[in-house]
Amino acid sequence: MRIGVERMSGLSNLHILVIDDNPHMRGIVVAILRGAGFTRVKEASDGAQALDEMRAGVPDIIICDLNMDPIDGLEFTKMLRTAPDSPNPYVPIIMMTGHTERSKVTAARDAGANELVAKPISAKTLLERIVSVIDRPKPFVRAQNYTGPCRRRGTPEDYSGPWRRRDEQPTSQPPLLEEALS
Amino acid sequence: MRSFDTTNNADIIDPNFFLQRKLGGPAGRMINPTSIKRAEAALQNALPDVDFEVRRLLSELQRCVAAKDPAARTLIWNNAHEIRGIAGTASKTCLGEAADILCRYLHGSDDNFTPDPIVLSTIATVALLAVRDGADGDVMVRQLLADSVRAVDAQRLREGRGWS
Repeated sequence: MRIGVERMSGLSNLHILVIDDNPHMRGIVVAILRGAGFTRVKEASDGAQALDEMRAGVPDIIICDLNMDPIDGLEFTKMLRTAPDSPNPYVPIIMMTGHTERSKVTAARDAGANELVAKPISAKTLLERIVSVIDRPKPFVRAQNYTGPCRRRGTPEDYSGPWRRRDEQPTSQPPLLEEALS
Repeated sequence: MRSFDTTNNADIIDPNFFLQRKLGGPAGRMINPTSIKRAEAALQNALPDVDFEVRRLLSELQRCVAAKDPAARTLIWNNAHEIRGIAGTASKTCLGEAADILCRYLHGSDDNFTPDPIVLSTIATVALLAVRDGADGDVMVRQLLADSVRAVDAQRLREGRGWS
């Protein structure tokens, strides 16, 4: 029991911001997070409100819907990663989406999302993504055309395909983020 | 030997374990099967509200389809998209699939697009059947969903919007 209390207090140290224009979807995500023990959960209904929230206090993790108005999840992510006045360009972003078409998955990856969760979401899937961004953070890349977490998935231990680096054997595409959707 | 472009330099910052330190240890130890069960229980408590919202979105969508208003495309798309997102969580998988078929039909169309009323009303009817409790186990609903996918693909082809 004592261990349980200590674990709860650990999760309550993290501040999570949930951004979705559908209040019911936000409610689902917040219920999952609070149920798991995250007590510092804030909500925003779109990217603009989220930026306001972030000026008041930068969250540790952002869970964001892809399809929102007026600023959608992709635009919000790009702004956060690249804007000179960004409150924190490195904050992990977990993107939720009902769109599992390859183009959308690639767009989310290229915008700088760390992880993707396909709707309908389950508690297990969402919490697994949170564990992933905390326990397996990726290197952060700042390049002319891309700013965000390294888009390669996998590590030498778990990637069985060929490599593309100059000093490695060529050549095939590394797995995409969409593997996360399976 | 392939040549590599070395002009596009990138700064690579090493992975940061700040969140793990803030948490006081690996998240995998704190988010365990017990906490996942607690989260699932909390999700179950939130479901009645979600169920209500799904039904509200569906009835709004039905009204739009019945009105045959060409300007309703955006509202139908938005509602179908929302239903697709939350219906599965509310244990209405077939309804989510019906909404997904609507999205499939409207995918890539612009705001001025006038959807075919027969295709729309057919899928809306399937969605109405799929919102019933127990519809996910109904073979007829599954068959209607499969037929709807074929109907939508055929309609998109007729409209010159076939999947490439």
